[in-house]
Amino acid sequence: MMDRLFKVVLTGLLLIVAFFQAVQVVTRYVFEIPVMGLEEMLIYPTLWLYVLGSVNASREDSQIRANVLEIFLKTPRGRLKLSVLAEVISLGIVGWLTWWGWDFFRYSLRVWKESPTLYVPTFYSDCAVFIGLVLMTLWTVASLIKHLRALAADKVSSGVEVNNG
Amino acid sequence: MVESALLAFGVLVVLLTLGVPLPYCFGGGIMVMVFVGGATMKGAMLWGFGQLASPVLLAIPLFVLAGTIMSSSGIAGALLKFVDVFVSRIKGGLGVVATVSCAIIGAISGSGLTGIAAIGPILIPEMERKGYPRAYATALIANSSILGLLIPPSVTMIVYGWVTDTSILACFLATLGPGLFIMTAFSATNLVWARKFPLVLDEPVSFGGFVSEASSRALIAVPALVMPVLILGGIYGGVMTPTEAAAVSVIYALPVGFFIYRGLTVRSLFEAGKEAGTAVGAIMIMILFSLILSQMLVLQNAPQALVDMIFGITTDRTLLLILVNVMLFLLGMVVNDITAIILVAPLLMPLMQAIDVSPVQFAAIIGVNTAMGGVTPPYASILYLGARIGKVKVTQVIRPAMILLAVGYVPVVFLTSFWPSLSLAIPKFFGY
Repeated sequence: MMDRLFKVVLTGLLLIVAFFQAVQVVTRYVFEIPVMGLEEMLIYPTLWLYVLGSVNASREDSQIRANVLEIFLKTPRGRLKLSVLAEVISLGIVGWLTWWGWDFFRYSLRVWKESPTLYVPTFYSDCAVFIGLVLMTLWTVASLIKHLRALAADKVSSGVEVNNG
Repeated sequence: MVESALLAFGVLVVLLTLGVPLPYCFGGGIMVMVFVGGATMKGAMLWGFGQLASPVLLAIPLFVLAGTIMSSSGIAGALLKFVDVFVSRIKGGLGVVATVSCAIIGAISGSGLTGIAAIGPILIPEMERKGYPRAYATALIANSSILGLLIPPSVTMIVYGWVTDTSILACFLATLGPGLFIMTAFSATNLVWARKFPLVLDEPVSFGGFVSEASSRALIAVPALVMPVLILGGIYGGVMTPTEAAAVSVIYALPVGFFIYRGLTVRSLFEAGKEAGTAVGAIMIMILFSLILSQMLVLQNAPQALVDMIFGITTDRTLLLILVNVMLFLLGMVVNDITAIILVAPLLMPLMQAIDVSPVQFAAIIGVNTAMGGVTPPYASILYLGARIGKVKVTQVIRPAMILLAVGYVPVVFLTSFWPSLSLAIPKFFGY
């Protein structure tokens, strides 16, 4: 369900952005009549694309990582512990960034700035930062819980093995 | 003040090592700058998010989407068959097909992954059928796939040009010379290496037969070959910006994929859209936080302090260039190309200017080094994807991949650093 939603939304946003740009090329170079405000309108789907793409990367656990230490860990349990540590740290950082995203959200709502040509409130794109960071925080929490459960289950199964042995 | 910048960088490296996602690593660096360095987050989000709205960066998702559409549309198959007709009767010719096709695909896509994703599934089994060891075929295509980052357009060069305020069109051309050099080196190495394999060659044909075969395959390949002409002709003909060219390539690829090559379906389009959107989102959020951190570092004069510190150790240009190359190589081993550029390009730029390396030449140096990172473990995303597509163990691919790297890549890294014309001649020819 969630996967299908992201497929539709991300593909839709990408195609809207590509279509707007292509229209700009045709109107500017073929008909020599640039469409006023088109580039301004592009900003909204573009910024939402970036933010929602990143939210999906968090959901799929495909954010870019270096994972250098993981190579030196021999056991799956060691790697699991490292994942939990990385997620606890991530949660602290993303939580702090979300706080500043909220600050930006309130600022944008208060100022209610409008785009120069079409007078569309920039809040509609600015709010993406806070919403995106909240969703990324929630996915980090979900991932942390999943790994903690796996760690607990691993402990139980190791205990059983020891008892059986 | 410099101490807090160093601490921020140290924290960033520690978080990277622990496997914290890159955007949060930069977030950790920002926290250090705020809590220790006295920097402020007030207005930082507003400024950083405003920077992301740059039309220049919009070229990245569009080139990534064009590449992913191409991977699933069947365009690669037509290109392969076209190149194959010229070399299929030469021993080692199929290996040359792999390398040259990756270069052509590089002129359509801006990513290093498209070559292996589009060509690997078709060519690896075919090369094995003709007598190439599977691990070798996988290593050759994975290494050649990096040409996607060096033959323009290139996503990494868009990021480099943007973060260092250098002409993106000049940066595109800066990596073209090294890219063509690498393509030639891989092709030549393959022709020598292939002598050892018991290869099955196509039956010889008469000249008339060759002409008819070549023309029929060329006809099928025309819609695919139009794409690089459209992109590069549009950009360098002054008709389109890179972003507009990327958008036009997406709009062009859709009917070609759906109705001409028929490999693209509604389902695969949505899959490609999600893949491209997710990849771009992961990059952009990282760029947002890295920009905020860079701005804080610049405000504390950290890049100049770094130059002074390095000049305190040595001022020898040759030694400094070697050190920079080694550092970029090591960085490429642990992070991906775009991350490496965001991390070090703004920091090293003052040093490069101090030793008379132009920003355009540095684009080529950093481009070649970070591209090579895609096949150097532990962070060897292109090599790992290749191993998955080729259905071989990574350990089997590493040996041939490293030999190809040593023969085809490392000499070009040094040539790019010490022979400026390799990266500057083509941009100069085009007036940059």
